[in-house]
Amino acid sequence: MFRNRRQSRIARTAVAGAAALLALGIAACSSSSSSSSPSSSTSPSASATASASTTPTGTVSPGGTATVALPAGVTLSYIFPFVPAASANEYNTLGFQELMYRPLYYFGGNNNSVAINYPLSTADAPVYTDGGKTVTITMKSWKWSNGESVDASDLVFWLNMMQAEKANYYGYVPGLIPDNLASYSATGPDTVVLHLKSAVSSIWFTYNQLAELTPMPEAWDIASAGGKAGSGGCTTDTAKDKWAKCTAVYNYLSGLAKNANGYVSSPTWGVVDGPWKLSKFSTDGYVTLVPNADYSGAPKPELASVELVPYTDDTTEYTGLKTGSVDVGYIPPADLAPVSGSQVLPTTNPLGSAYNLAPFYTYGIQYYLINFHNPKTGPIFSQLYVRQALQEVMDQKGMIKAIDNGYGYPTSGAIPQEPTSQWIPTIQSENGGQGPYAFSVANATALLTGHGWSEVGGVMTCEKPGTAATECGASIAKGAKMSFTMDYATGITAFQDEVADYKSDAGQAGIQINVVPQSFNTIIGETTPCAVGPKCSWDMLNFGGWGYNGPGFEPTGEPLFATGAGSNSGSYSDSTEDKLIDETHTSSSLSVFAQYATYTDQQLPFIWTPNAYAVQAVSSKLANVTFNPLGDFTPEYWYFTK
Amino acid sequence: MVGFLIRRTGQAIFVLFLVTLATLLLVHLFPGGPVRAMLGERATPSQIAYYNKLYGFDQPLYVQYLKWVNQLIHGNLGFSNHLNQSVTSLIAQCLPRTVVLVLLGTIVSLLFGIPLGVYQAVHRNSASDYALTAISFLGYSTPTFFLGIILVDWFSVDVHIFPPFAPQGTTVLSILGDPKALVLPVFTYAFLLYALWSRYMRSSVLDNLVQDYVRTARAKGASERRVIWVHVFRNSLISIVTLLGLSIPGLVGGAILIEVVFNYPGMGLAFYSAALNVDYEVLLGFTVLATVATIIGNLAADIGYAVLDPRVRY
Repeated sequence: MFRNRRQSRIARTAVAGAAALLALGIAACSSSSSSSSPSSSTSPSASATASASTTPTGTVSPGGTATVALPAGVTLSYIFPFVPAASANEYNTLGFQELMYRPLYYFGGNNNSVAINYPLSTADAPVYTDGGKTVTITMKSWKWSNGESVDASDLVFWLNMMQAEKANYYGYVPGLIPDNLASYSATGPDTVVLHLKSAVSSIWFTYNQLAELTPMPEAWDIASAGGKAGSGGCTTDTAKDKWAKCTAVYNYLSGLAKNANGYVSSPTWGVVDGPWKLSKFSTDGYVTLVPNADYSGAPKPELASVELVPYTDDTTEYTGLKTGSVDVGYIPPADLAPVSGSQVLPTTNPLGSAYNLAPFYTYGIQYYLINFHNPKTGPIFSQLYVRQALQEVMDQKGMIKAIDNGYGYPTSGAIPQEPTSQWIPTIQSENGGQGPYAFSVANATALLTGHGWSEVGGVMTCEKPGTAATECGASIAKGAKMSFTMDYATGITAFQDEVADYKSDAGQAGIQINVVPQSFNTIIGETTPCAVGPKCSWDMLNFGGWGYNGPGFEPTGEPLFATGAGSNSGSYSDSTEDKLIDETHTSSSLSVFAQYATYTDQQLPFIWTPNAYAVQAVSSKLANVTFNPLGDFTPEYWYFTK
Repeated sequence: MVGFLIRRTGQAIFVLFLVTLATLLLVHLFPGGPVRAMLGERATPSQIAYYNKLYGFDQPLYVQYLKWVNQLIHGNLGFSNHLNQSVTSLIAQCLPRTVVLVLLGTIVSLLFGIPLGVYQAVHRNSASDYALTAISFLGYSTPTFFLGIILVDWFSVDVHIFPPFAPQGTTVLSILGDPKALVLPVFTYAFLLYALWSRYMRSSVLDNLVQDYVRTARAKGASERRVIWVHVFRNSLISIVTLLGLSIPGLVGGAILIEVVFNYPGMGLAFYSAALNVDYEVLLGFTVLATVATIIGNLAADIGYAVLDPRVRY
């Protein structure tokens, strides 16, 4: 659900600024809220198995308004699920639109899982035939609030819209859906058949392609206000007219979506198939949702309404908790006592017995980027032993303890460590969860000296150029220094401390890192992959990480590690990596996925950095609130207790 | 006076031109370009190209500027692509909050700062003067956000006398309809300003008290009360008028720290947020408004001089 507005700064902000990502829906494991005495008390279940949920206690008291804190500085701004890049963020999608307009397939839910959740989806499991070239989707025939069926034509409507307006859909990647479809059609009222251009992995296609589809009601297929449902013609449009009808419908709907003050009164946006409908929407951040009485799925909402409340910063949000004006919020990291060992939650609940606490993990990884195309340092980064050394001087556990007060866990590879999932390769569990390259300055030093580097004036210097096993490596000249500049994003104290710690540890191994604070926007400006040349001059960029919470949900590497990938800003390129990534798109075998993940973990295309998690607070009167790592927001599961 | 006003209006237009042009240039100085900064790290090259075209960033700077000016002339301040609302409606949402806060804070601070400044000057070097000076210095040196947080902790969290947040309405009436919620933010804003007014007033009165005209008035038998409140007071206000004029931009610029502490999203926060999100039309719209307010403030101060000081003529 709600992460930082900058999608890339995932968990980092979850701890620092917006940490709280809204308390909105967030997941669970077992259970465990910290019950505490009025002043403050000991949590009996503050252990590693602490749940990201509040345990249901007491009997259901129907009704009531749950007030939920939006992350600091966040306001919701776009209602149309066909989201353009300029409005794409998880607050608008997971935290707002999906409450009203359910996607074809829902991931996560009111739990700790990151897997597909068929009960919350509008279609049954897709059926793959013809060796993975044909996909049959059967809709569940849910109902829209206006009585229409959520049927096959609603899905075709979306697919046609994608054909017409690829540039206006944030998740579009050239070559992928809808480009990879040879044809598609509704073969029955509830059945859509997709014919693909080539065979695909059923898991990848479901998790990273079908996941992008959202049925749209016929009532939206209009090109002007007051138009008759379906009069826009997008559902039946074809390429013959260059999808002109769909373009007209898109222009109308996107124009309507730009009138935020009209969301509540709009008959168009009032047609919903999710458990909630909009009751109040203010562009200053106040949003109220009430149950959709016609919701076909389960469970039906118990609450009378959910109210989202904006906050200007963490302190005001925390004041809201302290004064009891919100039911679900987050505790700023600075207000949390340190935890150690297997503890996940603080021993003392700073809010007393009025709130239960729960951890909120984010399904993502943290890293800093290295620039393989830097003409000077790129050849050095290209050596695997160098990347290993750079990883081995990263004291993730030490940073988590000293800087994050224990509220974190190492990033040990390309797959998020939390929650446990089928995707995590065994290699990431090595060295107590640090992955294959645990913190060891001695090992890092040995790696460098074993490859022809010697410390000169405190900085490792290449003494043995060449490509033999004990030499520095290709294109590294004699006298080259292990000296790099790291640009890091300012504004988050913990982040700054981590960079300083890393510089210090790296220095012990003779790796000189000159740290340069930069604004987030400056860093973002540098993240464009560049061709080898004098202008491609950055060495290391440190600003956050990546969240696997949409539009794709299987943590495959195509957006990050594939050659030429959009977010492969350091221009990492490895033919084996590319091949393994491609195989995850065509094979549903978990062992194939494990090969990709293991190889990536070993190769270190990025250098992994610690992940932090947030601690959420939920009113002790409100039950069954969970914090799913994907950021799902599912208040239909919540209820007040008697 | 009319000639003066015409001259000043001409100057104002020129200043407005320079400021808006500079703002537009600054937007283009974002590393990687404004669209890259707006869409974030995940933006693909094709998305960047698409939005550059959509927003007109691929056109020459002067064309972009002229288009924006044309839009402005037609009363359109632009559209926030981040917030998905018009800049005008954003201002309509934020401005009442800021105006109420700044205006009330300024009035309260003037009500206390000016008479106490005069009192301090008249009783200079007395115990009460020292005590009030200490309070003023406290006002000067206490960071606004710190004072706000302390007040919230004491009066909202600990003893529940006042709400922790400022009124959340978006119209002047709805904001004023919750006076209890205004107490802490207004006091916080006024405390800093009080220090400013009282120190200036004290200094200004002290300067005037040694002037010949004061000596003359006293020699003519004017009472001390008349000397202070009729002769000295009016002349001492001249420096305050300058400051008041310069504080007018605060009506649209906002008081960002107070807005943050009291969860009161006004103009300051909106502008800050627009800068962070490279919401360029909001930046330009707010810049225009702030520039106009600054120009009006200066103009008001100049007119104020003429009213207070008969020697000043334009």
